[in-house]
Amino acid sequence: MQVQTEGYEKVIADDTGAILLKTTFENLYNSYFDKLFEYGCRLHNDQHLIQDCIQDVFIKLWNKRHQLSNIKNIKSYLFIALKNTILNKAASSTHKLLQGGDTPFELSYIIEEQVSKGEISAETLSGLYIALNNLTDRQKECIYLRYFEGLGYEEISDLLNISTKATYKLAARALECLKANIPESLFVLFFLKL
Amino acid sequence: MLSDNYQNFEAADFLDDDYFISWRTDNNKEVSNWWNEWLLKNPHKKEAVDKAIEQYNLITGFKRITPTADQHNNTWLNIEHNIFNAAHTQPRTKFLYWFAAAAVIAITTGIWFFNRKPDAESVLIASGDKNKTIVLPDSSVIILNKNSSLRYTENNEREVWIEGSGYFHVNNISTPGKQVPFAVHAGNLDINVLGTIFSIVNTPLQCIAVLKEGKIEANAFSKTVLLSPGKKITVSNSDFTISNVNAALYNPWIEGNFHFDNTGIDELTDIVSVFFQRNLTIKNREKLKIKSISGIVAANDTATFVKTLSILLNARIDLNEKELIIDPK
Repeated sequence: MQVQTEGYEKVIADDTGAILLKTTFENLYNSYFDKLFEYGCRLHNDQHLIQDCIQDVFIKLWNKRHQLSNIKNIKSYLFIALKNTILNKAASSTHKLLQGGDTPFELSYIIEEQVSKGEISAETLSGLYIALNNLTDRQKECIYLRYFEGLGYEEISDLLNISTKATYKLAARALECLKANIPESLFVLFFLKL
Repeated sequence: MLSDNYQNFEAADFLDDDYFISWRTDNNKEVSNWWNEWLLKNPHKKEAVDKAIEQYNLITGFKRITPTADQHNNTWLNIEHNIFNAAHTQPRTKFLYWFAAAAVIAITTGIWFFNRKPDAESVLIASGDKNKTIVLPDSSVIILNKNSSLRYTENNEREVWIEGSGYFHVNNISTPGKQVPFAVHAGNLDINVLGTIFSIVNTPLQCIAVLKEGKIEANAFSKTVLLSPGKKITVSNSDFTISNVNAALYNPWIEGNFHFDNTGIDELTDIVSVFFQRNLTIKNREKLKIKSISGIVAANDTATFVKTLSILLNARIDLNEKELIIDPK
């Protein structure tokens, strides 16, 4: 049994392919650990807990390696598995209980960093940053998954546990919210710099 | 996904386009080449695309969270420890992974038959009547043939001593500026490798190493030879020879078969000598019409091997302690 996934020759191999499997499994870990860690830490601020959860996700993946023929997209599989693991762990421990639909999502924008890169004043940007920081947790998660991780709407809807249609709306509302706060002149400024 | 409607796109449309996003997120040459080319052909769209890029950069300009190298490595070590330790408790026993601690007998006294004694704190892994797959702490994998053993010291898992046969898949490990060597000692043969795949068969009469991938440095009787893929070194009690072989034939314990592919009598003679410790002799050589064989032949069981060989060669085969005699029909 073999499963082809994006960029990975063989994620699952039969018993005789164990050498390849082992190294591929490690490659998979190396490619995704940082991404999973960052996403996890945005859902929950206990980094030890996130490490434990990532560990559980990979051990589960290894133990199920013979029955994974229906994984279509390894990336969204890993993200979903991680989120579920975090929700379960956080709920079953003394950690702050996360409510079903309203999981917090840490995403903060720092003005200083951007300003140091260009000549735009903090004043001009402050409105925008207030808007960015005022997005709801759900909007932040959606923006993060779509623009930083490059996931499609369908995959995001699985992660947010809402319909694809609702995900489209969520993303559109978030962008609308930003657009209202981005002064048109800012773009002219950016444009002139190029 | 590519939209055919880009001519009508404004910044906001680009910002919501999957192919645009994959240009910004993925480090994919093909995608970025496509966009650069498209922009050259459509200079009037540059303004909109640039605006979308700026918006993109703004919304992804949040504070990053990055793990430390320790967090990355420790989590992996836990995973590795867990999956390779747990393997023997699972019902799937066909292909077990034995993490060092699982099936290790620690022997504290040196053992005389190794040409160089490992240090006192060594681990010995013996395969018994089945193959055993060993994953060393550095992630190198060794598939040990039955009735074979492997030893290494706890302070240096990249130096091992082998009795019997093993298939080595050595992980290439480098620290800044230099690669960490991996050494195998087998009878009169010492091998230094970097990252590579090879087999070793160490019997009382001779010791061979066959290289499948990479490069190895073989030392025997104070001489050093560099082997390339497809080369075999045969070390006897006093000398060694180098020959060209089909490397795929020299690890039959992995699948339990020989995959003969146009294998000539000379190579077959060598296989019989290495894996069955017998000389191959042919009676009435002029009567033997078949000069090479192809096919999959079971390697685990001498009787089945002989029977299949006799069919392939259309010959009667007699087997005694020292010889495998082919008598063409």
